[in-house]
Amino acid sequence: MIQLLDRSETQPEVEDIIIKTLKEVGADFVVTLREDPSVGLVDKISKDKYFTYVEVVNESHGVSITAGASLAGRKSVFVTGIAGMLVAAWPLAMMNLIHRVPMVLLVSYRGDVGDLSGIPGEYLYVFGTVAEPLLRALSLVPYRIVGEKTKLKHAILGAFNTAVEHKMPVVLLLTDEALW
Amino acid sequence: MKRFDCLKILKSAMDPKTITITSFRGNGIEWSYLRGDKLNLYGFNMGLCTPVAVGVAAAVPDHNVIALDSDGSFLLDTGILITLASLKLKNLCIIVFDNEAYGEYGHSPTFRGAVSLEKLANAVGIEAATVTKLEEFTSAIKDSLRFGRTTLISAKVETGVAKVDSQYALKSGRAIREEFEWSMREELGSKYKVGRKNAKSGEALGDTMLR
Repeated sequence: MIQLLDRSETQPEVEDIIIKTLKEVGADFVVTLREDPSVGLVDKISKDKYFTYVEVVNESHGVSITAGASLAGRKSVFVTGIAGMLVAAWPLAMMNLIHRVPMVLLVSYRGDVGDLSGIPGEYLYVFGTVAEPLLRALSLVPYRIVGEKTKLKHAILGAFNTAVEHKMPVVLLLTDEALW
Repeated sequence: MKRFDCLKILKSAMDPKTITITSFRGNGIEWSYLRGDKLNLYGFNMGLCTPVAVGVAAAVPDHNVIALDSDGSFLLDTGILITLASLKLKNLCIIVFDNEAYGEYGHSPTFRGAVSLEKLANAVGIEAATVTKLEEFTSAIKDSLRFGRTTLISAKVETGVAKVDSQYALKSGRAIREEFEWSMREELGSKYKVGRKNAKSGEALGDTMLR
């Protein structure tokens, strides 16, 4: 039997750090296709009038909508998981290698060690196996794994700086206490 | 009906401050020739054009946006209509130029003949029209460019690309994006938040590749 992790104490703190940092950096356009690990975060964002919040039915056009918002001058974030990145591989490759669009992806690192989200293990194995090779295959999408709450703020600020300076999407893979 | 004739009608009918986003090749070649680079982002390939336009429209709701998509590209992700249904954007017009083929020359037919984009759009509450003649296109454009809601025009066109001296083929995606970024900066001023800045003066630096 899978033992689900009780995130009721740690999760709100992580969500608040992310929201506070997004505001500090001026990122006010958030796109997502809801998934369990980030549902608390996007719930808060959806109720916060600071943000323009867009829910999509397909991560592929989620990435393109995020890119469009960035091209229109809004600092933009796509909140997703590993499956979402797989679905969005095509626009992610194009926005990175052809159009060079700065944006940040906050990605729950499903399948990483410590993922007790309740998804069957064989699915987690797929996510854990493909996540980083996928990002490397997409050629030069910079990514960082963030597993500590204390490093979240710095990672998000750095991701936006890199996205803008390098003109490309930047991925933060959230795991451990930065997510679970 | 030729796409190039439709685009000439669109150019004369629209407000010059309208933002346009196009799909790959033919749409981009002909429209960039007619419109130039200002507030025009062209060359978004299969399944990317309309979603990028949606992102632009949602980001700058005070500006009107037109997506110039093509049937092969649009069919790749018709789920965008469902996302659009919940967004209820008031500043977006989607024109799908439908030559019933992937690419420009008709060698690879799409499934377009079996699908009504107008009915698909209507099914999620988006106002739509199918047009086959220039007079119908003119009328549909006049109606859609009133904005106030999202509209979709499915325009049946011949295959082929007008022989025009377009800059499209000479520019990289990055260069096209940079030109768009600069024109958006001019349009939006301080509201445009993305981009490199001089750390001391705060002056926009853009991309050193072009400027």
